[in-house]
Amino acid sequence: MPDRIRLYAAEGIVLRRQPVGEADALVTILSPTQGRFTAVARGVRKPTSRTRGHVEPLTHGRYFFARGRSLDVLTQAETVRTFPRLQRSLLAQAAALYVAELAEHLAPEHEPAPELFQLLGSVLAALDGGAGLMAVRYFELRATADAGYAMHVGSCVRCGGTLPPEPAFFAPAAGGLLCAGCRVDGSSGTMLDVRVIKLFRFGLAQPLERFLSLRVDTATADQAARALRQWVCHLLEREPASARYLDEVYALEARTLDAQAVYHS
Amino acid sequence: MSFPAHDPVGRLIEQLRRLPGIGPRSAQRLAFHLLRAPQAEVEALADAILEVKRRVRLCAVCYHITEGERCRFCLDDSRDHGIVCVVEQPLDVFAIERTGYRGVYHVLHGVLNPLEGVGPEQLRIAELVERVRSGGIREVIMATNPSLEGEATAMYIRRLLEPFGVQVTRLARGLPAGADLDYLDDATLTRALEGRQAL
Repeated sequence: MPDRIRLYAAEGIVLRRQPVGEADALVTILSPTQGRFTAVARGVRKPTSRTRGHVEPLTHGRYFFARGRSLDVLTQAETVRTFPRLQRSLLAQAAALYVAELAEHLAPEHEPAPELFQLLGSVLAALDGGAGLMAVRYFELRATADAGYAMHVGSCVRCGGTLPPEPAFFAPAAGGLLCAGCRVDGSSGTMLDVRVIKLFRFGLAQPLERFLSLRVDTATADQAARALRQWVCHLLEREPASARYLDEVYALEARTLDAQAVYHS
Repeated sequence: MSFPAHDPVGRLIEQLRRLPGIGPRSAQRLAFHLLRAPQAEVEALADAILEVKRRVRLCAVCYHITEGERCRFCLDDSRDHGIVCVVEQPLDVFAIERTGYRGVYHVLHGVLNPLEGVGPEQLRIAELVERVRSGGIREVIMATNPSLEGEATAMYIRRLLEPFGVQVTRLARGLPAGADLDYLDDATLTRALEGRQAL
């Protein structure tokens, strides 16, 4: 009897597809049961491939694999859910690629990640349904928290003291907000408006639907975006590759769309 | 078996390994094939490689490969210069040519790939915008691949070209010839249904 099963199935969302060889691709998938893992999809770049469309990035599918010596090999695929708007909206797609990249960085390899999978699916569905960039803010807050890096915004992260209802200093390296007494000169970070602090507290405690129902003014949303970018860059120790593209698309869309429409559905 | 990098055979293997799709075993096989091949054949190959690098460059207008300043498509007055087909790579030009298309081209030399850090500045997108801005173009056909990256590139360019009032079209997307409906993914089937035509 072999000591492990040679064939297995996994549901997942395709995070990345990289070409390899003449017609193959490496497919990185986030699965609730197996976390993040990469498999080879043979011949998937051929026009006649039957699995080609099922392994496009941002596709939620059910996949079957054969265990290989180094990488497992994709043998069959079927789509569970697609996000068609992500193929048609420039901003929604850029946002979706950004959250997929964050998920890839934050997901544990070959370990169950049901919360992150659920979160990614919900946020992609929200973006597909027309939610604006507030869905991205929610993902940044919650995915980092699920990975064990919850932003500390309830009190001073250093002394635990209560924060008065006024702007507070956000220090990513410290892990959250600092009171005036704990902030030392030269600390790296940024001042956050009370509305941004409340927004973060709300996001860390409430489900996605309630977070998306908030109407947030553009200045607050912009400040929240900048703070969360600092937070993500600090945790990943670099800027996500897709962040710059998202910023470019945001700038392009903000020129033609109402700024509120960029953040909200 | 490995060859030292300073050894002529080792150097050749190392250079061949840099080619796309060539792994260490293939590089060794190719190197020994060249070693056994007649002198004239190997010299012809070396000359062809050097000549292509010496003589072939990018067209100043469409960035397709050419020997002169402008490619044969841009120089051809019988083609419709008001229609520009935007493709990812020079090889795509040859594919579109097989259809009998009589417009001109613009080669991007890649597609947007945010996850790999490939942004608009690494492609010939600004040059396309400038080409449209300078006038004379009625239609831009986005012929990037129907992949996520190809769609992103098409949508990005469409947005950039909006202010110029030029018609931006996209290649139809749907069923490949000889396909089984049963095996098609939902996205392709949805697009095929949306793009259905009267018989």
